[in-house]
Amino acid sequence: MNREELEKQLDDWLDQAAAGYGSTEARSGFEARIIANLNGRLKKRRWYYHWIPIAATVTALLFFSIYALRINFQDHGTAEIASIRPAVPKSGPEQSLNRSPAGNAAVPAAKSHAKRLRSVQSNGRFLSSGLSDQERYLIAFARAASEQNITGLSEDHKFEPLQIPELEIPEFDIPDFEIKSFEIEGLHASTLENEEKL
Amino acid sequence: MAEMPIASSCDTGTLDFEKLVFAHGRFVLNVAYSVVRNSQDAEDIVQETFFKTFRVGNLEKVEHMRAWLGRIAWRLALNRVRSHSGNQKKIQSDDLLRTMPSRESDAEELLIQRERAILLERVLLSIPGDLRETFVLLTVEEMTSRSAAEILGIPESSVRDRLLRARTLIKEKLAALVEEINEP
Repeated sequence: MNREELEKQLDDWLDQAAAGYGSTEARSGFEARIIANLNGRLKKRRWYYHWIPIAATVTALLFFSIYALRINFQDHGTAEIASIRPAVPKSGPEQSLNRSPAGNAAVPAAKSHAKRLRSVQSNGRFLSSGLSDQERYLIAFARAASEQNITGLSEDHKFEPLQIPELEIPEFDIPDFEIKSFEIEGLHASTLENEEKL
Repeated sequence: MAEMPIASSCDTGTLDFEKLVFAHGRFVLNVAYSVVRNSQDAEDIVQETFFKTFRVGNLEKVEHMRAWLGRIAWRLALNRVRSHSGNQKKIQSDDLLRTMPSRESDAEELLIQRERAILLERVLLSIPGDLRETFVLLTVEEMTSRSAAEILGIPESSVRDRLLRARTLIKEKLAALVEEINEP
Protein backbone atom coordinates (compact mmCIF):
# COMPACT_ATOMS: atom_id res chain seq x y z
CA MET A 1 0.00 0.00 0.00
CA ASN A 2 1.56 3.26 -1.07
CA ARG A 3 1.28 6.60 0.71
CA GLU A 4 -1.51 8.02 -1.46
CA GLU A 5 -3.72 4.97 -1.04
CA LEU A 6 -3.24 5.06 2.71
CA GLU A 7 -4.08 8.77 2.73
CA LYS A 8 -7.27 8.15 0.80
CA GLN A 9 -8.34 5.30 3.04
CA LEU A 10 -7.70 7.39 6.15
CA ASP A 11 -9.72 10.23 4.68
CA ASP A 12 -12.64 7.90 4.01
CA TRP A 13 -12.40 6.40 7.46
CA LEU A 14 -12.32 9.82 9.07
CA ASP A 15 -15.34 11.01 7.09
CA GLN A 16 -17.34 7.95 8.09
CA ALA A 17 -16.32 8.22 11.73
CA ALA A 18 -17.02 11.95 11.89
CA ALA A 19 -20.42 11.57 10.19
CA GLY A 20 -22.05 10.02 13.20
CA TYR A 21 -19.74 11.31 15.88
CA GLY A 22 -21.35 14.61 16.79
CA SER A 23 -24.98 13.67 16.41
CA THR A 24 -27.37 11.83 18.61
CA GLU A 25 -31.00 10.93 18.23
CA ALA A 26 -33.16 12.67 20.77
CA ARG A 27 -35.25 10.45 22.99
CA SER A 28 -38.98 10.43 22.32
CA GLY A 29 -40.83 13.43 23.70
CA PHE A 30 -37.65 15.47 23.87
CA GLU A 31 -39.20 18.83 23.02
CA ALA A 32 -42.26 18.28 25.20
CA ARG A 33 -40.05 17.36 28.11
CA ILE A 34 -37.90 20.45 27.65
CA ILE A 35 -40.94 22.73 27.49
CA ALA A 36 -42.60 21.11 30.51
CA ASN A 37 -39.47 21.40 32.62
CA LEU A 38 -38.99 24.94 31.47
CA ASN A 39 -42.52 25.91 32.44
CA GLY A 40 -41.99 24.36 35.85
CA ARG A 41 -38.82 26.31 36.41
CA LEU A 42 -40.37 29.55 35.20
CA LYS A 43 -43.37 29.09 37.52
CA LYS A 44 -41.05 28.55 40.43
CA ARG A 45 -39.19 31.65 39.45
CA ARG A 46 -42.40 33.67 39.21
CA TRP A 47 -43.46 32.50 42.68
CA TYR A 48 -40.07 33.57 43.98
CA TYR A 49 -40.30 36.97 42.37
CA HIS A 50 -43.72 37.64 43.92
CA TRP A 51 -42.06 37.91 47.30
CA ILE A 52 -39.68 40.66 46.25
CA PRO A 53 -42.21 43.58 46.30
CA ILE A 54 -43.76 42.24 49.51
CA ALA A 55 -40.37 42.05 51.17
CA ALA A 56 -39.52 45.53 49.92
CA THR A 57 -42.78 46.95 51.31
CA VAL A 58 -42.32 45.28 54.69
CA THR A 59 -38.77 46.55 54.92
CA ALA A 60 -39.84 50.09 54.03
CA LEU A 61 -42.62 49.99 56.67
CA LEU A 62 -40.20 48.66 59.24
CA PHE A 63 -37.71 51.43 58.57
CA PHE A 64 -40.43 54.05 58.64
CA SER A 65 -41.83 52.82 61.97
CA ILE A 66 -38.35 52.67 63.51
CA TYR A 67 -37.69 56.22 62.33
CA ALA A 68 -41.03 57.46 63.71
CA LEU A 69 -40.44 55.72 67.03
CA ARG A 70 -37.00 57.27 67.26
CA ILE A 71 -38.37 60.77 66.68
CA ASN A 72 -41.09 60.25 69.32
CA PHE A 73 -38.57 58.94 71.79
CA GLN A 74 -36.32 61.97 71.25
CA ASP A 75 -39.21 64.41 71.75
CA HIS A 76 -40.31 62.61 74.90
CA GLY A 77 -36.77 62.69 76.26
CA THR A 78 -36.46 66.44 75.68
CA ALA A 79 -39.79 67.10 77.43
CA GLU A 80 -38.65 65.06 80.43
CA ILE A 81 -35.41 67.03 80.71
CA ALA A 82 -37.30 70.31 80.46
CA SER A 83 -39.70 69.22 83.21
CA ILE A 84 -36.94 68.38 85.66
CA ARG A 85 -35.04 71.61 84.96
CA PRO A 86 -35.14 73.79 88.15
CA ALA A 87 -36.48 77.36 88.15
CA VAL A 88 -33.99 80.05 87.16
CA PRO A 89 -33.10 82.34 90.09
CA LYS A 90 -34.94 85.64 89.74
CA SER A 91 -32.82 88.14 91.67
CA GLY A 92 -29.24 87.40 90.79
CA PRO A 93 -26.42 85.67 92.51
CA GLU A 94 -27.31 86.59 96.09
CA GLN A 95 -30.24 84.26 96.22
CA SER A 96 -28.18 81.40 94.87
CA LEU A 97 -25.53 82.01 97.44
CA ASN A 98 -28.07 81.99 100.26
CA ARG A 99 -29.59 78.70 99.10
CA SER A 100 -28.82 75.92 101.53
CA PRO A 101 -26.79 72.98 100.14
CA ALA A 102 -29.12 70.67 102.07
CA GLY A 103 -31.84 71.40 99.49
CA ASN A 104 -29.88 69.55 96.83
CA ALA A 105 -28.54 66.90 99.08
CA ALA A 106 -30.88 64.23 97.65
CA VAL A 107 -29.18 64.38 94.29
CA PRO A 108 -25.57 63.27 94.44
CA ALA A 109 -23.07 65.48 92.67
CA ALA A 110 -21.79 62.69 90.49
CA LYS A 111 -25.25 61.83 89.22
CA SER A 112 -26.03 65.41 88.37
CA HIS A 113 -22.75 65.79 86.58
CA ALA A 114 -23.37 62.66 84.52
CA LYS A 115 -26.86 63.82 83.66
CA ARG A 116 -25.55 67.19 82.57
CA LEU A 117 -22.97 65.55 80.35
CA ARG A 118 -25.63 63.34 78.79
CA SER A 119 -27.91 66.25 78.08
CA VAL A 120 -25.09 68.26 76.53
CA GLN A 121 -24.07 65.32 74.35
CA SER A 122 -27.58 64.39 73.24
CA ASN A 123 -29.09 67.83 72.68
CA GLY A 124 -26.03 69.93 71.99
CA ARG A 125 -27.43 72.45 74.50
CA PHE A 126 -26.16 73.36 77.90
CA LEU A 127 -28.76 72.82 80.60
CA SER A 128 -28.32 74.30 84.02
CA SER A 129 -30.31 71.61 85.80
CA GLY A 130 -27.28 69.69 87.01
CA LEU A 131 -25.06 72.60 88.01
CA SER A 132 -23.68 73.08 91.48
CA ASP A 133 -24.38 76.28 93.41
CA GLN A 134 -20.91 77.63 92.75
CA GLU A 135 -21.33 77.11 89.04
CA ARG A 136 -24.72 78.80 89.09
CA TYR A 137 -23.26 81.73 90.95
CA LEU A 138 -20.47 82.07 88.45
CA ILE A 139 -22.83 82.02 85.50
CA ALA A 140 -25.17 84.54 87.11
CA PHE A 141 -22.25 86.79 87.93
CA ALA A 142 -20.93 86.64 84.41
CA ARG A 143 -24.34 87.46 83.00
CA ALA A 144 -24.83 90.41 85.35
CA ALA A 145 -21.37 91.76 84.67
CA SER A 146 -21.74 91.52 80.93
CA GLU A 147 -25.15 93.24 81.04
CA GLN A 148 -23.73 96.08 83.14
CA ASN A 149 -20.82 96.53 80.80
CA ILE A 150 -23.01 96.65 77.74
CA THR A 151 -25.49 99.16 79.21
CA GLY A 152 -22.65 101.32 80.60
CA LEU A 153 -20.89 101.38 77.29
CA SER A 154 -23.98 102.34 75.37
CA GLU A 155 -24.65 105.35 77.62
CA ASP A 156 -21.17 106.77 78.20
CA HIS A 157 -19.40 106.16 74.93
CA LYS A 158 -20.50 107.38 71.61
CA PHE A 159 -18.46 106.13 68.76
CA GLU A 160 -18.08 108.41 65.79
CA PRO A 161 -16.89 107.29 62.39
CA LEU A 162 -13.13 107.36 61.96
CA GLN A 163 -11.67 110.30 60.09
CA ILE A 164 -8.59 109.57 58.06
CA PRO A 165 -6.65 112.66 56.87
CA GLU A 166 -5.78 112.74 53.20
CA LEU A 167 -2.21 111.86 52.40
CA GLU A 168 -0.09 113.88 50.01
CA ILE A 169 2.55 111.97 48.13
CA PRO A 170 5.16 114.24 46.52
CA GLU A 171 6.48 113.39 43.09
CA PHE A 172 9.73 111.46 42.96
CA ASP A 173 12.74 113.19 41.48
CA ILE A 174 14.89 110.68 39.63
CA PRO A 175 18.23 112.19 38.56
CA ASP A 176 19.40 111.50 34.99
CA PHE A 177 22.36 109.20 34.75
CA GLU A 178 24.89 109.21 31.96
CA ILE A 179 27.19 106.25 31.34
CA LYS A 180 30.45 107.50 29.97
CA SER A 181 32.78 104.54 30.23
CA PHE A 182 32.90 101.08 31.68
CA GLU A 183 35.68 98.69 32.53
CA ILE A 184 35.73 94.88 32.46
CA GLU A 185 38.30 93.07 34.54
CA GLY A 186 40.84 91.01 32.62
CA LEU A 187 40.12 92.70 29.29
CA HIS A 188 41.77 95.69 27.73
CA ALA A 189 39.30 97.44 25.53
CA SER A 190 41.96 99.33 23.79
CA THR A 191 43.05 96.48 21.49
CA LEU A 192 41.15 95.37 18.41
CA GLU A 193 40.91 91.74 19.58
CA ASN A 194 39.19 92.69 22.79
CA GLU A 195 36.79 94.95 20.96
CA GLU A 196 35.80 92.02 18.72
CA LYS A 197 35.34 89.80 21.73
CA LEU A 198 33.14 92.38 23.31
CA MET B 1 -29.93 24.08 6.63
CA ALA B 2 -29.40 27.81 6.41
CA GLU B 3 -29.27 30.10 9.45
CA MET B 4 -32.75 30.86 10.70
CA PRO B 5 -33.09 34.43 11.91
CA ILE B 6 -35.34 35.16 14.83
CA ALA B 7 -37.83 36.98 12.62
CA SER B 8 -38.59 33.77 10.78
CA SER B 9 -38.83 31.81 14.01
CA CYS B 10 -41.50 34.10 15.37
CA ASP B 11 -44.38 35.18 13.25
CA THR B 12 -45.53 38.23 15.16
CA GLY B 13 -42.28 39.47 16.61
CA THR B 14 -43.15 38.24 20.09
CA LEU B 15 -41.14 35.20 20.92
CA ASP B 16 -42.88 31.90 20.94
CA PHE B 17 -40.57 29.79 22.98
CA GLU B 18 -42.26 26.55 22.17
CA LYS B 19 -41.58 27.19 18.51
CA LEU B 20 -38.04 28.01 19.42
CA VAL B 21 -37.58 24.70 21.19
CA PHE B 22 -39.11 22.76 18.31
CA ALA B 23 -37.04 24.65 15.74
CA HIS B 24 -33.63 24.50 17.39
CA GLY B 25 -33.87 21.95 20.20
CA ARG B 26 -32.28 19.07 18.35
CA PHE B 27 -29.50 21.20 16.97
CA VAL B 28 -28.69 22.44 20.46
CA LEU B 29 -28.83 18.85 21.71
CA ASN B 30 -26.29 17.75 19.08
CA VAL B 31 -23.96 20.64 19.90
CA ALA B 32 -24.06 19.71 23.57
CA TYR B 33 -23.69 16.01 22.82
CA SER B 34 -20.65 16.57 20.62
CA VAL B 35 -18.84 17.89 23.68
CA VAL B 36 -20.20 15.91 26.61
CA ARG B 37 -20.74 12.61 24.73
CA ASN B 38 -23.63 11.68 26.98
CA SER B 39 -27.27 12.06 26.00
CA GLN B 40 -28.56 12.74 29.53
CA ASP B 41 -26.00 15.47 30.15
CA ALA B 42 -26.69 16.88 26.70
CA GLU B 43 -30.40 17.09 27.47
CA ASP B 44 -29.68 18.87 30.75
CA ILE B 45 -27.58 21.36 28.83
CA VAL B 46 -30.41 21.95 26.35
CA GLN B 47 -32.68 22.64 29.30
CA GLU B 48 -30.22 25.10 30.76
CA THR B 49 -29.64 26.75 27.42
CA PHE B 50 -33.31 27.48 26.84
CA PHE B 51 -33.80 28.58 30.41
CA LYS B 52 -30.97 31.08 30.03
CA THR B 53 -32.49 32.23 26.76
CA PHE B 54 -35.86 32.82 28.39
CA ARG B 55 -34.29 34.71 31.23
CA VAL B 56 -32.67 37.06 28.74
CA GLY B 57 -36.15 37.71 27.37
CA ASN B 58 -35.45 40.40 24.80
CA LEU B 59 -34.28 38.34 21.84
CA GLU B 60 -35.39 40.59 19.02
CA LYS B 61 -31.85 41.80 18.48
CA VAL B 62 -30.43 38.31 18.01
CA GLU B 63 -29.72 37.90 14.31
CA HIS B 64 -28.82 34.22 14.08
CA MET B 65 -30.79 32.46 16.73
CA ARG B 66 -29.47 29.00 15.86
CA ALA B 67 -25.83 30.01 16.19
CA TRP B 68 -26.59 32.02 19.31
CA LEU B 69 -28.26 29.07 21.00
CA GLY B 70 -25.47 26.81 19.82
CA ARG B 71 -22.92 29.13 21.38
CA ILE B 72 -24.70 29.06 24.75
CA ALA B 73 -24.96 25.28 24.65
CA TRP B 74 -21.33 24.99 23.60
CA ARG B 75 -20.13 27.10 26.53
CA LEU B 76 -22.32 25.23 29.01
CA ALA B 77 -21.10 21.89 27.67
CA LEU B 78 -17.46 22.92 27.90
CA ASN B 79 -18.00 24.12 31.46
CA ARG B 80 -19.60 20.83 32.36
CA VAL B 81 -16.78 18.81 30.81
CA ARG B 82 -14.16 20.94 32.58
CA SER B 83 -15.92 20.63 35.92
CA HIS B 84 -16.07 16.85 35.48
CA SER B 85 -12.61 16.59 33.96
CA GLY B 86 -11.42 14.38 36.83
CA ASN B 87 -14.08 11.80 36.08
CA GLN B 88 -13.51 9.28 33.36
CA LYS B 89 -15.88 9.96 30.50
CA LYS B 90 -18.09 6.96 30.00
CA ILE B 91 -19.65 6.13 26.69
CA GLN B 92 -23.10 4.71 27.14
CA SER B 93 -24.08 1.84 24.92
CA ASP B 94 -27.35 3.48 23.94
CA ASP B 95 -25.44 6.63 23.07
CA LEU B 96 -23.26 4.65 20.74
CA LEU B 97 -26.29 3.12 19.12
CA ARG B 98 -27.83 6.53 18.63
CA THR B 99 -24.70 7.79 16.90
CA MET B 100 -25.15 5.24 14.17
CA PRO B 101 -26.22 6.73 10.89
CA SER B 102 -28.97 4.19 10.33
CA ARG B 103 -30.76 1.92 12.76
CA GLU B 104 -31.50 -0.54 10.02
CA SER B 105 -27.86 -1.36 9.41
CA ASP B 106 -26.78 -4.87 10.10
CA ALA B 107 -25.02 -5.88 13.30
CA GLU B 108 -21.61 -5.94 11.71
CA GLU B 109 -21.97 -2.38 10.49
CA LEU B 110 -23.09 -1.28 13.96
CA LEU B 111 -20.04 -2.83 15.54
CA ILE B 112 -17.74 -1.19 13.01
CA GLN B 113 -19.33 2.17 13.67
CA ARG B 114 -18.91 1.68 17.38
CA GLU B 115 -15.25 0.83 16.99
CA ARG B 116 -14.75 3.86 14.80
CA ALA B 117 -16.35 6.17 17.36
CA ILE B 118 -14.22 4.80 20.19
CA LEU B 119 -11.02 5.03 18.16
CA LEU B 120 -11.78 8.52 16.95
CA GLU B 121 -12.49 9.67 20.49
CA ARG B 122 -9.16 8.31 21.68
CA VAL B 123 -7.29 10.02 18.86
CA LEU B 124 -9.13 13.27 19.48
CA LEU B 125 -7.99 13.31 23.08
CA SER B 126 -4.37 13.42 21.88
CA ILE B 127 -4.68 16.54 19.70
CA PRO B 128 -4.67 20.17 20.93
CA GLY B 129 -7.88 21.42 22.51
CA ASP B 130 -8.70 24.19 20.04
CA LEU B 131 -8.32 21.81 17.08
CA ARG B 132 -10.36 19.14 18.84
CA GLU B 133 -13.18 21.55 19.69
CA THR B 134 -13.38 22.81 16.13
CA PHE B 135 -13.33 19.33 14.64
CA VAL B 136 -15.96 18.05 17.06
CA LEU B 137 -18.21 21.04 16.46
CA LEU B 138 -18.07 20.51 12.72
CA THR B 139 -19.13 16.89 13.08
CA VAL B 140 -22.52 18.13 14.32
CA GLU B 141 -25.32 17.61 11.85
CA GLU B 142 -26.38 20.81 10.01
CA MET B 143 -23.31 22.64 11.28
CA THR B 144 -21.68 24.94 8.75
CA SER B 145 -18.27 26.54 9.05
CA ARG B 146 -20.02 29.89 9.38
CA SER B 147 -22.13 28.69 12.30
CA ALA B 148 -19.07 27.12 13.88
CA ALA B 149 -17.22 30.41 13.52
CA GLU B 150 -20.05 32.24 15.27
CA ILE B 151 -20.20 29.69 18.05
CA LEU B 152 -16.45 29.68 18.61
CA GLY B 153 -16.15 33.44 18.17
CA ILE B 154 -13.41 33.22 15.56
CA PRO B 155 -13.26 34.05 11.82
CA GLU B 156 -14.56 31.48 9.36
CA SER B 157 -11.12 31.18 7.77
CA SER B 158 -9.69 30.20 11.16
CA VAL B 159 -12.33 27.49 11.47
CA ARG B 160 -11.32 26.03 8.10
CA ASP B 161 -7.65 26.25 9.01
CA ARG B 162 -8.21 24.52 12.33
CA LEU B 163 -10.28 21.80 10.69
CA LEU B 164 -7.53 21.14 8.15
CA ARG B 165 -4.87 20.96 10.84
CA ALA B 166 -7.03 18.71 12.99
CA ARG B 167 -7.66 16.31 10.13
CA THR B 168 -3.97 16.22 9.26
CA LEU B 169 -3.01 15.46 12.86
CA ILE B 170 -5.69 12.78 13.22
CA LYS B 171 -4.61 11.12 10.02
CA GLU B 172 -0.96 11.15 11.11
CA LYS B 173 -1.88 9.45 14.36
CA LEU B 174 -4.07 6.92 12.59
CA ALA B 175 -1.28 6.20 10.09
CA ALA B 176 1.10 5.59 12.98
CA LEU B 177 -1.42 3.14 14.45
CA VAL B 178 -1.76 1.34 11.12
CA GLU B 179 2.02 1.06 10.83
CA GLU B 180 2.21 -0.39 14.35
CA ILE B 181 -0.41 -3.01 13.44
CA ASN B 182 1.32 -3.91 10.14
CA GLU B 183 4.74 -4.31 11.76
CA PRO B 184 5.57 -7.99 12.37
